[in-house]
Amino acid sequence: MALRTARFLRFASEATGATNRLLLTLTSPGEAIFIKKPVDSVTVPGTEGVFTVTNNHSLIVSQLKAGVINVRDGSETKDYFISDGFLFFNQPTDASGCCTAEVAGVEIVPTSALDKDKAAQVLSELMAAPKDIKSS
Amino acid sequence: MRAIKNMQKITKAMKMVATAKFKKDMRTMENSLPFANPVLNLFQRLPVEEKAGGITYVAVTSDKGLCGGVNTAVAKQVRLGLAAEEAKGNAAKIMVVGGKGVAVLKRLYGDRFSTTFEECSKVPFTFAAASVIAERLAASKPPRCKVVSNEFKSMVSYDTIAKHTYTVDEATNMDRGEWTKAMDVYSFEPSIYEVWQDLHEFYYGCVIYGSVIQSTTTETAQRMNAMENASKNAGEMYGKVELQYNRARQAKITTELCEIISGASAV
Repeated sequence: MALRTARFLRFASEATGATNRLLLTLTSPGEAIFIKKPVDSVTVPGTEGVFTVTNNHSLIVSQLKAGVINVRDGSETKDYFISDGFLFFNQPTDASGCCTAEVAGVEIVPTSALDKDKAAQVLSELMAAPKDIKSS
Repeated sequence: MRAIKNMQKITKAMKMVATAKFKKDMRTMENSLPFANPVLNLFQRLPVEEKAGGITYVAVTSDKGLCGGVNTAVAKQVRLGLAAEEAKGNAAKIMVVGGKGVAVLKRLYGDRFSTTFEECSKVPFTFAAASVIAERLAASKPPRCKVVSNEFKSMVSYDTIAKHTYTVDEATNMDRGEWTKAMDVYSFEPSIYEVWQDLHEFYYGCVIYGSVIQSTTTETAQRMNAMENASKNAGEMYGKVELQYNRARQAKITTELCEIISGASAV
């Protein structure tokens, strides 16, 4: 019974997706971070400059370069790093008035998971390693 | 009898392994299909044109057997499609992903093979691996292309489909009117002429990635079913053989008793 209720609730949360909002799908090959999550706006690093899409934007297909994706939902904002990928913006498929924005990136991780100092350290270790082998 | 018992143990173990793997595959599929689908949906807006000319079939199969008819189904689709195309006089080539597909198609169509990829499923399939395959596909510049793979429907059912895949040739030689109708609703950034090549490569990658991920999930699901059936069959067989064995033993004991009794009464 508990399982059934949980299932029902999950279904409900998907179905009651508010009207007239932007449905964001943010995915990399290994992980679907958001699937049709209603948000206010999303800012992405296009190859021709950073831009923001909201609901009812004109239809767009854009190539993305390495940079930070900023997702805004009310007062909440989240940052994700993207290596490169594409953004597809589509018209609503039903009467809810929710446009869909789909971001498919080769690598997408939350910026909080990245640590520049650690990365620099690992990189320097890696760069140093072949030299050690050569000298020994 | 011991052999049957052992066989049942093995098939049961394989079923357990498949069940565990299936959960993982299912999760991967749920995570990765939203990634592959947007670009596929975009390309689906383009009209399908039936044209003559060379065609490349990409068969997506598994590396291991004992998983029901998934690989045979793919091989059959390829064979039928190939025969139809060659009857029309179109040159056909085959690319195979997965060892089982190679083994099945080699005998009849070995001369049509252009590239084969084996042992893809030893490590979890990644987008990088898909890109390697897609790159080879793009480099061979096929005039037309069909990707044959199993589409996962549920635990017990799957669809083997030959998916029409748009090639660069098709996209560039397409009727401009149709092209504009399909693509001009979108504004492309950078302009469509600059971005198209990258987008098309990404499309190839996503087609391959989506197909392989779905095929893997289907394979594991079918293996679960196949192994369950095998365990059941082994159980039945064991029951029959056990009955036979017990009867034979009883008969032997009875004859021995008869001999002893008749011997005793003679003395």
